[in-house]
Amino acid sequence: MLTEDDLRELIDSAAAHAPAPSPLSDDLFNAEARQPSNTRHRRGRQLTFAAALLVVVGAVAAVIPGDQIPFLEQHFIGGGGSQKSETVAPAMAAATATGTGTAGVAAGGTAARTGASATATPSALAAPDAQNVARTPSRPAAAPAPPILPADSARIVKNGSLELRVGKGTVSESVNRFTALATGFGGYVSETHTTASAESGSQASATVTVRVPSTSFEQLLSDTSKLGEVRSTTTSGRDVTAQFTDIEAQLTALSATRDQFLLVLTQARNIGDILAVQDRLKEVQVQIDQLEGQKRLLTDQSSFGTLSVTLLEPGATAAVTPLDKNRDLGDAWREARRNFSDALGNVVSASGTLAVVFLFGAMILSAAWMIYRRLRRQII
Amino acid sequence: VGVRDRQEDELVARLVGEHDRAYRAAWLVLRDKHLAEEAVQEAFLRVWRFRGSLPAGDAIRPWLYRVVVNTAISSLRHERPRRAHEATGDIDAIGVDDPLDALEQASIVAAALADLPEHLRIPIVLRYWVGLSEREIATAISRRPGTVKSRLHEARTRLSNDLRLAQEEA
Repeated sequence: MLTEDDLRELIDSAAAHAPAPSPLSDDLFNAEARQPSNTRHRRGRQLTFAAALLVVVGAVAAVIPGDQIPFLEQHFIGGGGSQKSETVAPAMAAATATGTGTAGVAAGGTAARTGASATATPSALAAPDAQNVARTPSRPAAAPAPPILPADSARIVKNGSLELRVGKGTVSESVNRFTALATGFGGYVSETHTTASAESGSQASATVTVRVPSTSFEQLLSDTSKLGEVRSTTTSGRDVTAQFTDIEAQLTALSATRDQFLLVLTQARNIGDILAVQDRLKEVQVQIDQLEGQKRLLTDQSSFGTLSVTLLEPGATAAVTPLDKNRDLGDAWREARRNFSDALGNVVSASGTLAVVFLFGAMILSAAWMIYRRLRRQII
Repeated sequence: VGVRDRQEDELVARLVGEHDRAYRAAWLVLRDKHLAEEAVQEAFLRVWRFRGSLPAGDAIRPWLYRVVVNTAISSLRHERPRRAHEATGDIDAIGVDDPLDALEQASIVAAALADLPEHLRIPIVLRYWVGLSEREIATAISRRPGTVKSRLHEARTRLSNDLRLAQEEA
């Protein structure tokens, strides 16, 4: 092969034998051409003008009330926000009123959809008649009515805790009444913890955790609150509908895959094929089993709400039972993720118009930058 | 204004100084005197028109040849049909002092170069005629240095074979 020097020499010789070039035109860099590059400046001005125009249009679009611009209303300003507020409002209402009424988690399904939870302060709920408290609206009357959700399609994991002050020496009796209430709704007691009084030897406090069909959760909450003076109440609802639907879809797909493998298995001719198909089949079956386990868990969690009631004698104290003792790392992760997205949503909604203007500005500047780069590339 | 005029004078001087080499580079790519002249003139005009965007210092050279190469390629693509029947090129009328074998050799090399596909011819010209480094060629043709290296290697191999065959035929 030619060495680099040989090649350089050969190409030099070829280039040297090229016809001599005509001298460079004197007019090429004449006085007129020395003037500032009008084209470039004009193009720059055009770009600047276009970018400024777009910024202005974007800013105007952002500050115009959302209902006047359906698109913005739907996608940027009003739509998402108003929908969310409709959802949040009942959620808050539910969370604050749960202690007491059917309105509690009843408002329902919606409260759960946002995963909202709240704790009512004792002062707010220390009314003598819990029924009255239940009927007291905890949000302004002008607030929009909660949207009606299809009850059968939503899968909500409901949890709640209630702290009640009962009469001296009546803790045991209240426990029995509460247990009877829960079992009457088709529920069952999952955990009980009692503390004896040092003086009388009777129960000073008791914490009973029951699981009750979700459809009766609110009613049980309401009825239980009548057993004594409500000190505090906490409820939460977690919407697992999407997760549930996703699992079902995956199960459908995997089942179809399994059927296909089974079909292939019946047609396999040699040992190698059979073993290969069996391996794949096993993998699919393991995935199906795992998903079915998750589905059963979600079904159980959403079918039965968990209510933990703490009954206290006057003067007794008891730690509130954790809302859900069965929380695992997965739950914690999901909760953290949900909290993160909620916080992000809050930041976005709080930043309001400014965020929209910023977003528009960023988009426009990006577009202008790309156009500039493209134009600049054209010169070479 | 004074600084700008000085910079413009420097640019003009650089372009004038680079004209012959740029023209011959374009000629090696195009093998057509007029097309090469037009390509270089067009390239210089573009450089002049966008003189405000030029890179500073020595970085201007690969940039300049990037423009030259692009205009040459553009010319090549537009003029290809016309050039098809002028493919013999136009090795200049040789001076009386030139030995005949030098002319023959130049013709053979030019023909071998012309036979190379465009993506191999341009790196070879930029490397061995213009004298750009592989990295500068990469900048000039907007490819990675590794790509340039492999193209140069392939081009060298093909040129060696073509020239050997031509020599054997001769």
